[in-house]
Amino acid sequence: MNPHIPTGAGHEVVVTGIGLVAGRMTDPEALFDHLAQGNTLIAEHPLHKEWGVPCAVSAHIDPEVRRSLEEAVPPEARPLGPAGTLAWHAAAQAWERSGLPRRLESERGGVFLACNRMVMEPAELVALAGHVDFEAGALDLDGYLDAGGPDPRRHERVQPDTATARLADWFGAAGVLETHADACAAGGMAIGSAYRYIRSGTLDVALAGGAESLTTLSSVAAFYGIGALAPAGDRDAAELSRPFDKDRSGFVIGDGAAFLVLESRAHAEARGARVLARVAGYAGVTEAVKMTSSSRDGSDYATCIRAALADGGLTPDDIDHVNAHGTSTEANDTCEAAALHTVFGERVGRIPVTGNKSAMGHSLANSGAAEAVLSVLSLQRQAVLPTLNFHEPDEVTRGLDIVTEQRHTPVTTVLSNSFGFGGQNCSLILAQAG
Amino acid sequence: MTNLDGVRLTAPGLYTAAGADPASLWEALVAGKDTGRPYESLAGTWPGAGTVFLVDDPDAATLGVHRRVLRTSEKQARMALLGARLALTGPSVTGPVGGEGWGLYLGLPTVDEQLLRFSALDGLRRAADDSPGAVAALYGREVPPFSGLSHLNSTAAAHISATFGLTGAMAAYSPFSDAGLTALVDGVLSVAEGENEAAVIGAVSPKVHPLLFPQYEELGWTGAAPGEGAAFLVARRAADVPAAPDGPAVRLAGYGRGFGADDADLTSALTEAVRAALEMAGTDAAGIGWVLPDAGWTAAGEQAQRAALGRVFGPAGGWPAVAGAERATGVLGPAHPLVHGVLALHGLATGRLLADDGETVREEPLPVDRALVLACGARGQVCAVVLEGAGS
Repeated sequence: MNPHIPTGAGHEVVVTGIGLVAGRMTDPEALFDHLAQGNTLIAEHPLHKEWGVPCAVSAHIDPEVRRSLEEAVPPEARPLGPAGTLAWHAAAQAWERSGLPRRLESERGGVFLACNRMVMEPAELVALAGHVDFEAGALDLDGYLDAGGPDPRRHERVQPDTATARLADWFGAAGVLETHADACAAGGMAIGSAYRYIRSGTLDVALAGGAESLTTLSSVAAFYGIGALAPAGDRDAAELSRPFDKDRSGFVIGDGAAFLVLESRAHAEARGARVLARVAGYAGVTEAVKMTSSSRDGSDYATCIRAALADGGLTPDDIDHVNAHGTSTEANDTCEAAALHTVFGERVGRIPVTGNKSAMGHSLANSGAAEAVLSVLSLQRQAVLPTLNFHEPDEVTRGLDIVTEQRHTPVTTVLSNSFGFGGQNCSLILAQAG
Repeated sequence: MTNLDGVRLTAPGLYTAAGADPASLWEALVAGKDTGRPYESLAGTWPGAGTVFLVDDPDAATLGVHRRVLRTSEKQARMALLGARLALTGPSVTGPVGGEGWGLYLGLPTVDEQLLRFSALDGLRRAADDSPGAVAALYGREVPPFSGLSHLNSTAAAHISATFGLTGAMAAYSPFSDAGLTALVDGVLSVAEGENEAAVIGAVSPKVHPLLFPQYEELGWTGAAPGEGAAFLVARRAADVPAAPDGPAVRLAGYGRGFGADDADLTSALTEAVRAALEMAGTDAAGIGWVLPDAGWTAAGEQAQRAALGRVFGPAGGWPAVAGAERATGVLGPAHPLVHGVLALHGLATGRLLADDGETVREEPLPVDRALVLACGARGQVCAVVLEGAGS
């Protein structure tokens, strides 16, 4: 092994492959077309509806699609949990499309995966409950294990780094392995970290993305408990997620996975790869407000956006499309809208803004990766996707050019934001391949 | 000369069962002090020892925060916050801490837990006998408030940033020991490459919890006692490091990372990672005075480390002293290698090392001003770093 010494050469970083799974969609182009036509992935969750869960709406993976994806995972890569299975499909698709050999066999490749932690679901806890001494507050672990205990490979399946390791091993890209845990910004941060490793000359190739599978009773109950989910009320499922609309009331939780293959331009060109886009700037920063909200004036988010522009040597005038974080919560959209006003000034009304979560829900660690993939396709197709359910702005979101129907327009440089609970913020800038 | 040379690691903050400073841990190891405690949340005979290495759950006053912070945090986030507070005490004396130049790099565990309190599980069992709707209704009633936030694995980052005003570049990694050293490497690189002026680097263990044990068991655990704790350092530009209040300083002289999908690969990966770290540090096996291996909590990990160290140090004519903190801290997951980083910093600053002969830990003069710290992640991710006295 050669030491991973950054050369500081400032290598240009390009995108040569994309992959994605969301709802019933198992490839990025099909998803882009679906969204471009104003369709949604958000629907009633049949089981949650049957059980009377208060927020029985989500952008979950279709059960048949999930089964087929599980079967498609090669035996050598098993077992993978719900998120890992989605990750596998998206990553393998991105890799195949990049035209890289099946195995890289190089120390200069890496895998960067974003995925949040899991909590145990009711069926697992019921088995456990029989071995709890409720008076003593103690678990009879011997009894639990003697009775079969947990599924012996459950922990391996659900731990987020299992998929990281499996992908690295399968594709022979094990120079740097990172499993990111940066809340809702993790997908963007995984891509940003990969970008930095390639730019610095440490790596040539990286598989970077996110995966999440949290449309479960436990996760829905937890996010409902803090008032973060949009209450169903009288609205149809498809109308619940409404980024930047004055009647927004919370996010809709979603599942999914998305990956990009990043390469140094020199590496991509040397093998004759098709370059889809380039990574033109990145910032992943923390902030110092509080767990539940960021600065209402958007100053923290503006700082992040400006840092990404500075990283790429760009100015606000270079941006001609914003793929917003746009969760549809009152607080997040207020902060993001304020930040866009701050950064872009009077020009903000001329920059088309898309909130993909209006149709895809919020898949937390995956969302930044999925939105990066869709941003690459916006660059490819010179088209901006619509934000569903945006009808009327409020005082802060007024003045933004929220795109409500697919728009064909010159797209040269896209700003893609991800702003996480607790102030883990990320802005990624993707630009035409050049 | 690498771009790492302009960065110093300083301001150690440590919170383990052996105390809240590096000297206490050092003394506990040398004295053979029993820092374990019985664990009463498990009934029956397993695990054999029945002893774990717990820390007190820091309260709001200890953390220096409003008590509402406790609502949106779990014990592991509070341990991390205390570790960061201990680390930043010195720097805050010598100048302002926080702002856009101060970043944060964390290694965080992810442990499967029940969202419901244990006391609610009896109700869950009855509800499950009734209907899925009854289970859903119970979740609606019994899910603890704010758990949607406190169960996010990045909660520690949020609270540390908010408490100390950090607004620089950040990243958080999970879930095993390699995550701790990844945070160290990337944090130092963020300063070396000018992304941050300073980076708070830390890692925390999982809280010891009954459900940790079956999960460890699944991973091939040898039965080594788990512990709780957090370890932090601050990476700063060398020119910004004041002499005394931040404490001693070292530098990250080299690092290597690798991956071994199976036991044989693991040894090779670790061997290569160590060699890469030595090469980057501009030294060889003879240039290492002290090795701090990862906690030997799986047979495969332990064997791989022993074999890799044999390959590297055997041909050099002899092993350096080998000792870690496990006797006094238990196994600390992502925090383990960073606890070792703090311990190495303490030794490098005082010219001493620890040597473990299997029975006791003894203190010896440090023959060479470099220490090697290893991480051996549960999935085969390995990392090695060489820390060097800042005066070398």
